[in-house]
Amino acid sequence: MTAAIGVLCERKRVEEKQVIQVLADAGVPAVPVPPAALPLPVVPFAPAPQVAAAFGATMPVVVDRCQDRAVASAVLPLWQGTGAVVIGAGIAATGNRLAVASALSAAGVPRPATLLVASEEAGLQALETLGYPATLLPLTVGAAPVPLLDRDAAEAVLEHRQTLGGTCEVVGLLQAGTTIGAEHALVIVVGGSAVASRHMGNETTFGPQAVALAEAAAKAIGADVAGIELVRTTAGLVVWDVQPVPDFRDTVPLGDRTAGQAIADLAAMRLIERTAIGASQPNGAHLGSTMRREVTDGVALAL
Amino acid sequence: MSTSTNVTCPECGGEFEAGAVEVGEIIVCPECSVELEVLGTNPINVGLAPEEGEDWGE
Amino acid sequence: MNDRAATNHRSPKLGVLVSYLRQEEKLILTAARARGIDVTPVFDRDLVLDLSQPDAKHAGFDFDVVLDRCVAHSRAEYILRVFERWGVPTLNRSRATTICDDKARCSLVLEAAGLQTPRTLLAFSIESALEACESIGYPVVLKPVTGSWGRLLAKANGPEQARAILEQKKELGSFHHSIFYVQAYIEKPGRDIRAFVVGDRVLAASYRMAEHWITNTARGATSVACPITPEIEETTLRACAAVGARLAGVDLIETPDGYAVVEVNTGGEFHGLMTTTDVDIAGEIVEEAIRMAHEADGVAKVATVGA
Repeated sequence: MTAAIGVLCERKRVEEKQVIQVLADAGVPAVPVPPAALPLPVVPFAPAPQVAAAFGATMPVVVDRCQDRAVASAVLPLWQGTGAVVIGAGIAATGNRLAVASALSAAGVPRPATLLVASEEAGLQALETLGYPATLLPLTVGAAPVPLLDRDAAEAVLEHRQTLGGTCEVVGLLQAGTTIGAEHALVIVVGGSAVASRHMGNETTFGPQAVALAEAAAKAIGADVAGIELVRTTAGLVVWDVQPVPDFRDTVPLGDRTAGQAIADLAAMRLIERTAIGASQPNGAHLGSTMRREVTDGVALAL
Repeated sequence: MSTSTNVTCPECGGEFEAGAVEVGEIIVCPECSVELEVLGTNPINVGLAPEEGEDWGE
Repeated sequence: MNDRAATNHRSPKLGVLVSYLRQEEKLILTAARARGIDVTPVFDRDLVLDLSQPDAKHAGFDFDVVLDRCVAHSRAEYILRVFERWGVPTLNRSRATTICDDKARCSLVLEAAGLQTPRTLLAFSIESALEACESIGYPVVLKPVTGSWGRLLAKANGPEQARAILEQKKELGSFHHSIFYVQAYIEKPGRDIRAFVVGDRVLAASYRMAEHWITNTARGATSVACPITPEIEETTLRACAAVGARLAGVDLIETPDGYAVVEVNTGGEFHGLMTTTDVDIAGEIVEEAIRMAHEADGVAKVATVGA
């Protein structure tokens, strides 16, 4: 049986094992695909089958679980170019934090006061406006946010990033506030619905408002799957950051499915949709609502 | 004193028998191949092994 | 004998190792030329050093003494070692630059010599460095073991701040930046002291005044004359003797228990100091280099006679 779903991951971690296991239990063949193990032909110059062949299989559906986001940014467009349906974090999958913040703001999703800075000097100047504490969210793919609790720390952090890392490492978003000591939670949104969450800082009292906010954020960035970080600031509940490939092993389900099950369900549903499109509508026209319901029901039965 | 040397890999959740190990020893998870460092032996406790440094060597 | 050697022999040839010419190096070259000395700036970037050669002449260098004024300290360390192997006296000796270019080595030597220095702990992982910070008590200063001009000096006022800074070092820096040098922050009266040593003498000293806790002139501190008290002189010369430096800018801070030595800079700059003193620092450096050449020459002559 050839695999139908590839899970892009360097290694099967707890999360990827869960997704693959749920699919296997439902009879949907899924395999881990190491994203950076092989050279890849460049689409559209290379025929799609060559790309698939490089991975040893055709993958109608690919789930993005790459921990290395630099690798993901490079290989995801190739997979999309092969015609594979990629389940990922939308703008957050290959875009930087500026692209994500812009999309969230454009959609009216509340965010902390933010300034873009591209130098140490600009950073210190921005902090005069934003005040302390603040947080630097580097635009470098995969870089962790850095809390700047006071002026001494800000001077040191910005100088270190610029001196040791170069200009690219000092370019980032400066956000007012910090997650340290704040109500801070990660909400996993899959297929438009918040499915699980976990506290990242102080115990949170987030309710339906948080669920709605996380779902709005995922929608704004076009994410199939995303980890939406929420923080309660003095200005209210805001979207702090987005994790394109969130760890969900310690999350608590909000409904009757774990995050791993929800991702597997979504992957299986996309596979059925894809197959249905391929079989009945080669031009790739959208499924009718009746057909979509049948597909969804089919998945529900299958899983 | 006999202690269980059953280890749960923090990376993949796989369980395996570590055998007679000492703190500081590097073992490999047979399931996901990640390198793990033994952090404690009673009870056995492992974490991801440190990444290789540029100045490491013989 | 040195005086006789100075009058009896040809003018020594002076090589000045440079990365580029700062104000200080221009003054040194001018001072040497004014004394009729054959002086050549030697750019570190142009050098090809053949380690198999037995001496400087065979390697194509005709110097009686080499004065190190490189800003590229790692290059200078190798160059000085090579010239030493070739029997050319150098100012400073490589031992001194090797110690002083590494803050941890320097602190260790100063401590061993019984000098007062700020309490310093070394650690090699973020968690152990945070323990070191706790042990000292906040605020602490985190310094790179190599580096100058006040760059990458960090003051951490608490554990979260320290962690943020340590993580930048580990994430972005080479392995050298994960040698964590943690030092007690010492409240200074808005100034520290730069004492400049040539040979066996403290030539001049200045207060470096700044509103910022970093008081390097490279970071905008201003210099004001500081009288060389016997205590400053003694502390400074002891520090230089400990590291083996004969040309150095020594940084001191005033503490309730007297002067503490923060560091010894073998490539000491003196543009700030010059504004506070009439002493011809560049001229004195040249004289010291020439003295070393004559000493070596004298030793060589004695050795020849004795043979």
